Amino acid sequence: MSSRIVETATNIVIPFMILYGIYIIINGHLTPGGGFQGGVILGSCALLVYMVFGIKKHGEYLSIFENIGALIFLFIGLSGIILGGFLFSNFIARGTPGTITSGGTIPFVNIAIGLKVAAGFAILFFIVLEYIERRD
Amino acid sequence: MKAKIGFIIVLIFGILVFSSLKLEFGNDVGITAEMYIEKGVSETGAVNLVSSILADYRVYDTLGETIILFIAILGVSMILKGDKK
Repeated sequence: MSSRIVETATNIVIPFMILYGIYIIINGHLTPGGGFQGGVILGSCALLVYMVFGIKKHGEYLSIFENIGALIFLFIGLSGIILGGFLFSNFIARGTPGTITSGGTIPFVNIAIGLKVAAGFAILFFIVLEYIERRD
Repeated sequence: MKAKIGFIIVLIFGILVFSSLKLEFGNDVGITAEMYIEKGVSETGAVNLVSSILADYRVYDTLGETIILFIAILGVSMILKGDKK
């Protein structure tokens, strides 16, 4: 359905988009961005792949990724009760501000949210495109 | 019917614009915002203040946001997934 030009351009662009999304998620506590924004970038990568190469039957694997993200997020929150005293307490050492290891639990929360949002948006696009394909 | 809806929309827009003329921006922003600005970096260790609010101070709201996203995906999949059996 799609042309050879679009497929080649997508093959070139997709690794950079994935790298940029991961960069936005991991540097969420240093530069503008965060888990939700980087997750949306990764989810739009999935949309590009679906639109160019067609959808495959892998919606179940995506829901596993979303569950893993939600479970990491809740695990950070619940371990904050044990180690810090209240839910979602920042129990890891803060570090020097400006470095990649600073922020305590904030990078881990960003990674969990990014995983969950990326998988969630991929599921959303998957379901909508599958519905359109089946209706036609 | 469309004229009534359009009139209501214009009325609401006018009320919002008229009430926003009295707002004064750039003044004192309140105790909580000043606390975030002053102590945000030293308390959370994150340079990005927005991220420190979203993932540390207001992380309950982020939890609710992810639950809302989950429920939205659940609703879309229930409506559009179809019945295969």
